Amino acid sequence: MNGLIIKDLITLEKQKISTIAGLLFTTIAFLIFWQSTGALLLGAVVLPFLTIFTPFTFRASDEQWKWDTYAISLPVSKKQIVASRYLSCSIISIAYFLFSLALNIGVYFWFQDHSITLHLASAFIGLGVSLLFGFLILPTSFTKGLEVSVWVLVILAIIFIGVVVIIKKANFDIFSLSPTPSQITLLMGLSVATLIGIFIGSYLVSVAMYRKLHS
Amino acid sequence: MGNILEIENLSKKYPDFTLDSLSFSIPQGTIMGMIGENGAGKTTTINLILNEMRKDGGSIKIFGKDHLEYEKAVKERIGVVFDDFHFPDLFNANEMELFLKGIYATWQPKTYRDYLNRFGLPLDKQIKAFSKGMKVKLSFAVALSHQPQLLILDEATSGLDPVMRDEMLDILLEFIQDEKNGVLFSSHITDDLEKITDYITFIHKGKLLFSKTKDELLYHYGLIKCGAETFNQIEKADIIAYRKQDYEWQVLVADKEEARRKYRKCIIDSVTISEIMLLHVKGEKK
Repeated sequence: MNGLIIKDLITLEKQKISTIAGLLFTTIAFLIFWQSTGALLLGAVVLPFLTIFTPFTFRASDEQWKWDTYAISLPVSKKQIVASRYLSCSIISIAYFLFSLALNIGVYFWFQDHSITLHLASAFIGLGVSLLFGFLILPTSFTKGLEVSVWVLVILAIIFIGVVVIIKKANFDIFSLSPTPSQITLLMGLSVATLIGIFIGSYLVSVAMYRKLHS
Repeated sequence: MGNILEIENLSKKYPDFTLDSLSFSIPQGTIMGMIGENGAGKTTTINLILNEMRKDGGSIKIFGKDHLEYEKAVKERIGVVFDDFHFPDLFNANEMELFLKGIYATWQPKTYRDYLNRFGLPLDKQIKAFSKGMKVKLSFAVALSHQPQLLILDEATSGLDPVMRDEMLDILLEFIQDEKNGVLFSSHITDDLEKITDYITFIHKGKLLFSKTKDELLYHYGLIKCGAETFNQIEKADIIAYRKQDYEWQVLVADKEEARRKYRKCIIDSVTISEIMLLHVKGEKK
């Protein structure tokens, strides 16, 4: 299965110049325009948005090369083929998370505008959002192809924007929040549990659909 | 010597196609050619062997083991070359090896490099810049670099020029020198099959027409070419299939020598695999 993950990572490595350039440009632009708030926005919204394109990149490559036909002849089970894709997407999300974490910690010490908790929360929320989107998109990308997956992403994006708009209309000031450590722990616990639940459901659906596709 | 592949009563039903109780086996140390017109069921058979799709009935044993129960272990020892190139074409041969050695426990870097050298394939050039022939060679290099015992080729030599095809056939003959190995070679190019196969399996409309040694087909089968009058004298039992072309009747018989004794006035030629295939598919039964 390692080989399948390496294949995905080499596929992404082919786009490393455009990815790094895009990432640096976006980061610098956000920091110039919004200083420390820019780092919060990057961590919680922009970077997860960039990572959710990872499953599409993988799927587009697979479709272009008709990789599935060959993958079936390899000594890996269908479960492993599905699992490797989840792992590849998770590795990319974690890489972006580490970047976001480093950026937010650096920005906190540089500007000291917002609390370190908020900066850390931004990075962790970003990781959660990118994993969540990945887990929601992967089952469709496996079985329905690129086009349908794009539609799923559009629907998810509309829901996500909708939630943001509702929060904004309710005049909810996230920066004024000062949750207690126990509230943060509870929230994190609930978020992780929800994410794990969605991951398990998504993975089982993907395996079942992938098996059905090749039956 | 045992069978490297044993298929018994293999069935798969689709709304518009049925693979019907297919049975054949490949003894170790031999090459099996699989022939049949487009849509006959050759690729379906290969896909069922590889568990790309689930069979509806029958059994498939590879190296004496059930292909589903021991799927990973069995696939570790199978090399596959398809008609299309399915590898990421942004990769180079080096990057291909990087991920393939993470997939095959038995990957042999030296064997891979040796094949690349032998085929004159560059390590660092993107595959998308390769010609069709180079891509096929790379597919063969990959298929042979993890100590496979069974090679499955699905129209692997289609689209290659005769020189390159010959080179690939030599590779197969080398591979089969190890008597533990075997090859299933599905192809439309019957000339290639005549050159290297030991057995021929013929599938027509999802049914097995025959699975015989090549020698039995080429040395025993015969083609009677005659006029209408002589054709009417040929016994029904002797005719496998026939077809009329202009003023000539072509009749496929199973025993060329017997036919020569019985029908002395007729011209009875040896037959090619291509002619056998054509008469079975386009001919009629008396």
